[in-house]
Amino acid sequence: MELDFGWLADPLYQQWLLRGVGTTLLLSALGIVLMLIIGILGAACLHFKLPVLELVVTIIVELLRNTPPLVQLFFLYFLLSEIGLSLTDPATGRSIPLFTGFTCVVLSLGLYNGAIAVEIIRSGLLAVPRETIEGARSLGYTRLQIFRYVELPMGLRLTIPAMTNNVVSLIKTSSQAVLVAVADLMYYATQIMLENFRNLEVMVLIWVIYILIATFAVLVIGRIAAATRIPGYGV
Amino acid sequence: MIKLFRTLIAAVSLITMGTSLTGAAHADQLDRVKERGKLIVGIKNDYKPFGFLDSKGEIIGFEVDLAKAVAKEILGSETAIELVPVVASNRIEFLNQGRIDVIFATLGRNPDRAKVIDFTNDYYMMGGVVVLAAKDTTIKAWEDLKGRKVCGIQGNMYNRPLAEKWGAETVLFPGTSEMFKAFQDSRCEAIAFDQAILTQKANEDGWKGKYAVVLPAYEFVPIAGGLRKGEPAFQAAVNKAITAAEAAGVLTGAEKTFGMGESDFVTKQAAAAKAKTN
Repeated sequence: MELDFGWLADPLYQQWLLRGVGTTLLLSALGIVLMLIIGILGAACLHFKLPVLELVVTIIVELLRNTPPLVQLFFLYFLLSEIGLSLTDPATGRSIPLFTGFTCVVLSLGLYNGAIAVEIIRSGLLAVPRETIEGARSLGYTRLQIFRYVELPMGLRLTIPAMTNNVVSLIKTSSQAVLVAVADLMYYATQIMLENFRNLEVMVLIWVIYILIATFAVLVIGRIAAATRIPGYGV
Repeated sequence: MIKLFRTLIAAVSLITMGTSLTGAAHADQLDRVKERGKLIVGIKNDYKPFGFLDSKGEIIGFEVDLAKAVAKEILGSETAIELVPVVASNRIEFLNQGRIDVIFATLGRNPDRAKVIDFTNDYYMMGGVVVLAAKDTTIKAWEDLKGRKVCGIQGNMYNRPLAEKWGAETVLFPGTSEMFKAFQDSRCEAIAFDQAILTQKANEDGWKGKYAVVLPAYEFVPIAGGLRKGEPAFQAAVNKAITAAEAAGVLTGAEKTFGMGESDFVTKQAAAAKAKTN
């Protein structure tokens, strides 16, 4: 058996693959932004021990982190519209679900990996040396200023290795989009396999593409880590 | 980087070697099935009336009856069978990997597929793609699909003409249950799928009166079993078994049991098979 990549010359397949890669990148990028926002806000709630919010965040994190991301995606896609989250389509007058498939995938990625990010960032904040915080306090910084100018910048640097794993996991999880009919890389790959039956070749190709995307993300994070390195601090 | 590349190549060649080894072990397929004493059939379990789960969780349907009749003819017993649920997107791969002996899963015969698998004789004639929508829909002709969201299943041959010829925005799911749910949630305006399943669905409780098949099939697709290439003895045995099943009225009976109506094709095939065996 030999590998035949001749189908790659078909302009339609090239277009599909490019479109698929574009969707996957966009899903991942939006998911990462949402993940970071959720992670920082959630970690702040826990860090400041905000009344009520601390409990709410803890419960949500446990719920999201301990259920499969696919179940969460199906919940968002198939169940939310059932419990009334829908709007009226001005063109047809029908009630349509509030979230499109694309939005559901971004939300599910942001929520699931965001829940993990909350814990990662919390651990980063805890790792900031007490002496540094005490030093800031003695300089007259308020609690919020300490968080904004000392704990968060240092804490986030400390989370980079764990956060890299989280980002790579998010990129890979984005391939679930195919299950709710969002045309990402996996979706077009499935369609190509059905037409040319070169399953192995298509799988090898998208395997390589996912490796490239993940490697690119890791390199970017590496650059960010290098640029924000604190000399003499060991991170 | 070079090292990484080398590792990749090694991994790929390992995988390909594995597949070529399974392909090389070439005993006759018919002998292998007989030796095993069991026919392994790829079947659908979400495709009423061809293959679906009954209230007890068992797979039943038109193609299940056919598969059992084939097992009985080849191995002498209806129970000498293993049903492996497949979907459109994985059935040919399952067959060519050797996980199943034969596909009876609403497999349409077409020249592209004939390049990678062999077909048995046709046993059903399926109305091609039809469109189901709400009764008060404005979709009156295929041209009306332009720019509209249409739900369907990943892996159907007509998905491409739907998008390219008719300009529909296809929303394709892996399975029928997701597709029907998404349609009921108004994630798409219509469903474009096989005639048999949509006709059946339009008459189901909860669907009847609300939805209807608004665009009829414009072509018919012959349905046949799928076999690995280059197994003439097995192919002849399965074909003989299908003819025997047709002559014994298994398929006409199954059409009645599963509420599919009487189709000309199956009735004619049964008569022809009877004439041949007598």
